[in-house]
Amino acid sequence: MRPDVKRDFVMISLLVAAGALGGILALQPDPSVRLEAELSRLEPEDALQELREVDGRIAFDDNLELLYGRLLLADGDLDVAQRSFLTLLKRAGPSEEVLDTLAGINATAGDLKTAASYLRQAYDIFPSPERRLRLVGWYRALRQPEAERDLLLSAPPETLTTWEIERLALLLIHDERIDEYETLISSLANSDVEDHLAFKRSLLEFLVESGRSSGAVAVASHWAQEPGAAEALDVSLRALIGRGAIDAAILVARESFRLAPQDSHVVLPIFAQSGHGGIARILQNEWLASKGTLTEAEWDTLTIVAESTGDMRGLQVALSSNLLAGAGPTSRALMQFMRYRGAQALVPYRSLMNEDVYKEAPLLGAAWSAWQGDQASTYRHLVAAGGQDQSEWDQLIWMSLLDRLKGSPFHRALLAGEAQNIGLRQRLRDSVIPARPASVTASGSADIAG
Amino acid sequence: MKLYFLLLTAIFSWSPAGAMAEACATLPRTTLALYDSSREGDIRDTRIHRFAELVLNHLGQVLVYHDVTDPTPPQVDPAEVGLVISWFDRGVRGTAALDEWLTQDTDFCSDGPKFVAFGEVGFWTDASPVLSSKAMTAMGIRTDGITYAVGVSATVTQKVDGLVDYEDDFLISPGDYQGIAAEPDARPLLQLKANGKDIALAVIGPRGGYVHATAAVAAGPGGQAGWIVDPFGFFEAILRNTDEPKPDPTTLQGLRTFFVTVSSVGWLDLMPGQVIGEQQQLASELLVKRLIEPFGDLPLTIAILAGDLSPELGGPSAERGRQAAMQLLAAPNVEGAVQGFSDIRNWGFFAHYDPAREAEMLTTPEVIDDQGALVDTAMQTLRDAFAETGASTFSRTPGAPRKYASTPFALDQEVTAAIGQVNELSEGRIPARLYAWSGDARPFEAALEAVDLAGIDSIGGGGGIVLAAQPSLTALSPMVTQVGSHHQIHDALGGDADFTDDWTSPLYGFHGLPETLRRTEEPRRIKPFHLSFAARSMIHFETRRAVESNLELGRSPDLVPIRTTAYVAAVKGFMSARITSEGDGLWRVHDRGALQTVRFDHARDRSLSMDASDGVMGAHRKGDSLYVALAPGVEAPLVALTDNNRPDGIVRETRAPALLASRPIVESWNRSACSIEMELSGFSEGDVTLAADPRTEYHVAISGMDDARPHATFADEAGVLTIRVPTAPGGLRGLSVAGGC
Repeated sequence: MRPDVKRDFVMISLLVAAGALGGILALQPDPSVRLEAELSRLEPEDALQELREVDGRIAFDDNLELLYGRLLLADGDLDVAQRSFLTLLKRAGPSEEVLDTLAGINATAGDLKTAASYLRQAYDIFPSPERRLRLVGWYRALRQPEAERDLLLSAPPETLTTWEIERLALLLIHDERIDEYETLISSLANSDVEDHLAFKRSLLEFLVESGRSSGAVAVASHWAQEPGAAEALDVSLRALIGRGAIDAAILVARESFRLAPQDSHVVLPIFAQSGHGGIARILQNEWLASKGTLTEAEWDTLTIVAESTGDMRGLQVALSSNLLAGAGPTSRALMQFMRYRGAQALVPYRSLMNEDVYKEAPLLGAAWSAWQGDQASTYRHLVAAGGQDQSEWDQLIWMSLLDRLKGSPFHRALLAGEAQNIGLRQRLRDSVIPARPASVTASGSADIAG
Repeated sequence: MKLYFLLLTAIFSWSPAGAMAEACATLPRTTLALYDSSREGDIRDTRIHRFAELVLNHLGQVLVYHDVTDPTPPQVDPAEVGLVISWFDRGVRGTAALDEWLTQDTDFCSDGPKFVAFGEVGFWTDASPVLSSKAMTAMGIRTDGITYAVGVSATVTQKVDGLVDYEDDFLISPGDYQGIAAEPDARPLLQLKANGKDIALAVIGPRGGYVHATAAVAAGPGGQAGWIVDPFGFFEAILRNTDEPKPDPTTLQGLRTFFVTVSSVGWLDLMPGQVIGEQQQLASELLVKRLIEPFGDLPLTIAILAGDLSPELGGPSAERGRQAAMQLLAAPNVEGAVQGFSDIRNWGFFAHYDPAREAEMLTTPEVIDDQGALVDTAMQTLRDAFAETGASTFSRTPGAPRKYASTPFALDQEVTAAIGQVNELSEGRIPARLYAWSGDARPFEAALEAVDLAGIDSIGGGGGIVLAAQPSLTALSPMVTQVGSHHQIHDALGGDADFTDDWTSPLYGFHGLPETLRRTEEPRRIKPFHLSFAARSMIHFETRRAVESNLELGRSPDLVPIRTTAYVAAVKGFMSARITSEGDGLWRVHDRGALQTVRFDHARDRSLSMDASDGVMGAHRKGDSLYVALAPGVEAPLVALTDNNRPDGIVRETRAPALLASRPIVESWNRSACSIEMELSGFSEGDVTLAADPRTEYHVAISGMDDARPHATFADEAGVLTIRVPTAPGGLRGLSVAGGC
C-alpha cells in the first residue's frame, strides 16, 4: 500500500471512528433523563432520597424538577417543595399545576396571604368558577372584603353562584356602592338565572326603598309582558305590598290586566290574602269586566278570593255572565256559595247543578238534594263525600246534612260506617250517645242505690 | 329514747328544702337546648349542636336536648340547669308541658336558668305570658310585634368591638326584621337603624342574651360558616362563671393529651409494586412495617373490621389481613378496637332495616360495565384507586349502605359478634377495649346501647378541621352528641379523610394537621391532639409520610400520650362531673370518673393553694388559664384557689414539690410535707416537671434505676425541678422526690 493511500486510509478510519464516537456521545441521554428513568423504578421514598443527594450537583430539567417538587410536597417538606415549584415557575412560566400547587403549599403551611396571591395568578390566567369560589373563600378568611368584592365584580353576574351573588350584594351595600348594587340585582332580575325571581323581588324592594315607586311599576310591568309573567307578577305584587307600596301594586295590577290578560288573575288573591280585601274586590270587578271567558285557573282565582274575603260578588258576576267553566271549577265555585250561604244560595245556579258537578263535589250534591228533600240522593252524595278528604268545615257541613236524614234508614246506614274519611268516622262515633253508660261507676252514678 | 331521737333527727334533717339546698350547691352545668325536630330533624344537625355546643362545652356546660314538639317535659333535673338556649329559624310554639316546666319556681335554683335565643324569638314571645316575660326580661329585649323592612339605607348604630366581627364581619342583610329593642338594663352589642327604627341584633341581658340570625353565624360556600359574635365572650358574659372551675378533658397533668386512632378503612387495599413481579403489600401489612417498630413509643388504637378477616368476604387477601391484625394487636403500645363486621357506611339505613330494600339497592348496580364504551377517565382512576376486593358491595354499588351484605344486617353481629371475632385474634388475651363507629358514624340509639351492653367504650364521628383557608371553629364538633338517652363520644379532630376530601383532593393536604393543632391550641386549648387516619393512608406516599410526620409531633414534650380509651373516659368524666362550692375559692369535684383536670379561665391573678386543696397534684399556667391537675384515685378532690399571681400558678405552704407538668402518666400520687411519691406509666421516657424551691437540692429516686437509690437533683433558678423518667407500655415506675425542708 502506498504511503499516501495508507495515510488516507488512516485518516478516513480516524474520521469514521471520531464520527462514531461523536454519534455515541451525541446519542447518550442527558444525565437528568437517565436519572428520571432510574427514579421511575424506585419507591417514592428512595426516589426522593436519590434526588436530595443530587440536588445542586446536577441540573434538573423541567420534568425532574416537577417530580422533585411533587415528592418533596408528598414528603411534607413544604419549604423545599415551594422552592422547586418556584424554579419551575421561573423557568417554564406559569401553568395551572404550578400555580395551584404553590397556592396549596402555602395554604397548607398556614400562609394564606401568599397562597391567595398564587391562586389569584392562576385565576387570572386560567379562570374557572371553582378557582374563583376558592379564592373568594380565602379572601374572606383573610378578612379582605375589597379583594373579595373586586374579584366577584370582575366576573359576569350570570356566571356567579347564588351564594357569590348574595355575598357580592352584601359587600356592595356595606361599601355603600349602591349604584353597583342596583346594576347587579337589576341585571340578574332581568336575566333568566335560576333565582331571577328572588332578584326581581330584591330590585323592587330596593326601588321602593329608594323612593322610586314609579320605576318599580315600570320594571314590574315590563316583566308582566315576558314569559313567566304569572310568577313575576306574584313576586312583584308581594314585594310591593310587603314594602307598603300599595298604590304601585295597584298600578302594576291594572297594567297586568292590559299587558298580561292570561296571567293577571294571579294578582287578585295576593291583595285578598294580604289584608287588602277592598282593593281586591275593586280590581276583581275591573278584571272581570275585561273578560269574555274564564279559564279553569281564573275560576279558581275567583274561588280563592271568595274564600279569602267571604265576598261572593265576583263569583256571582262570573256565573251570571255565563262565563262557562268545566265541572271542576264550577263545583269549586258553587261550594263557596254553599259554605258561606247554605244550599238555598244555589237556587239561582240550579241550571248548573248536574251529575258531573256532583261527581267533583259530592257534598254540593248532598246539600242541594237535602234542600230539595231528596233523601236518597242526599245519602248517595254523602257516601261519596265520605270517601273524600274533607276540611274541618266541610266535615261539619257533612254532619249537619246527616242530621237531615235522621229517622231514615239512610241515617242508620251512614252511622253504621259508610263514611271512609277518618275525621268523619271519629265525628260519627262521637255523635252516638250510648243508650246506657258502659259502666255505671264510670258514669258517675252511685254504686249503691239510694 | 335515744333511737327515737336519732330517727327524728334523721327525718327532720332531710327535707325538700334541704335536698334543694344541697342540689343548689352544685354548679349548674347543664344547658337545656331547645330544638324543633320538624325543622332540624336529628340533634346532630341542629344549629345548637353544630355551632354552640363546642363553645358551651369549653365553658363547662353539658347540653341536654329537648324537642319542642315533644309533649312531655324535659327529662333533666331543674336544679342542674344553668342555661336554656334556643336557635330557631321560624316562629314555633312549645308544648304546655315545656311551658310549665320552664315557668316553675320551686325546682330551679336561685333565680333559675339564664335564657339565650339565637335566631327567631317567636317561641318566647308566643309562650305563656309568664314564660314570655321571664325569658324576654332575662334576655334584655322587648318586641313591638311589628316587622320592619331593612334595606340598603340601614346603618349600624352600635357595634361593640371585640365581641362582634369575630370570625366573619357583620354585613347588613336587607330583609324583614322583627322590631326588637334592647331594654335599658341590657347591653346591646350590635344594633342597626332602618327608616328611623332601632333594631337590636345582639344583646346581653341581665340573665341571658339574644342574637339575630344575621349576627350569629355567617354562611360560607360549601356549608362553611363563621361566627360573627364572639361566642366565647358572649356566653361567658351570660354564664358569668369565669371564677368557676371547668372540667377539661383536653388536658392531663398540665399538658395537652395526644392519642391516635387508626380506622380499618382500606385494610385490604393493595399498594402497587414499583417493579413487575414485586409483591404487592396490603395497607394493613404496611401498618405493621411502618408504624409498630418506628413508633413503639407512642400509643396507637387500631380498629379492625371483622368482616375483612373472613376469606368469604375479604377474598384472597383476608388471611394476610388477619395476620397483620394479629401482629398489630400483639404490640404492647397498641390498643385493640373493633369497627364492626360489615363496614356500615349509612347507619340511618339500618335504624329501620328493610332487607328487601337493601337487596333492591344491591341488585341495581350503580356502576355499569362499560362494554367497550368510553369510560370517563376520572371515574376509571377513582375505581382503580379504590378497587374493592372480595365480596364488597362497593365494587358494583358504591352507594351501598354497607360493604359486606352477604347476610342480612344484625346488630348483634355488628357489635357483640364482631368484638368476639377481634378478641379471638389474641385468643382473648388482649381484648378490644373500644368500638370505632364506621362510615357516616351516625349510630342509632340501639347501636349505642348494644355497645354499652357489650361493656366497651366507643368513639367516632364529629372531629373537624380548622385551617388557614377555613379558619372557623364552627367546623369543629362538640365532644359528644346526644342520641336518645345515650351519648356518642366524638373524635376530637378530623383525620386523613377530612384533610384529603376522602382521598380525592391533593393527598399532601394531611400535612396541614399541624395548622389545625395550632388553631385548636391558641388562643385557647379547645381540643386534644387526636391523630386519626385510615389504614388506606399507608398505601399512598403523601398520606403515609403525613402520618409519620404527624406521629413525630406526638413526641413533643408538651404532650401526654394516652390511649384513646383514656380520652373517652375523660369525656365521660366531663359529662358526669358535679362541682360544689365549699366557700370562697373552694370547689369540690364529685363524680368525675377519669377526668383529671379542671381549668380556671382569666386566672392570671389566682394560683392553686396546694395546702388548702386536697387530692390535687399541682397546676399549670397556659395563657390566662390555670389548669389544675387532680390526683388519680381521689374520690372527691377539693380545689382551692388563692389570690396570687405566681408565674408557676402554685402556692406551696409546705415545701414538698407540686406538679407542674408530666409527660408520663401519674397513676398514683402522694404528697407529704417534705416529699412526694408517685407511680408513673407511659410509653417511653418523658419529663416530670415539678414546682420546687429555686436552686434547692432534692433527692430523687426512680424504681428500676440505680437500684432506686436517691440521687441529688437541683431545681433551677425559677424553681423548676425536671426529672426524666423512663416508662414503657404495661409497666409502672415509682418516683420519689424529697427535700426542701
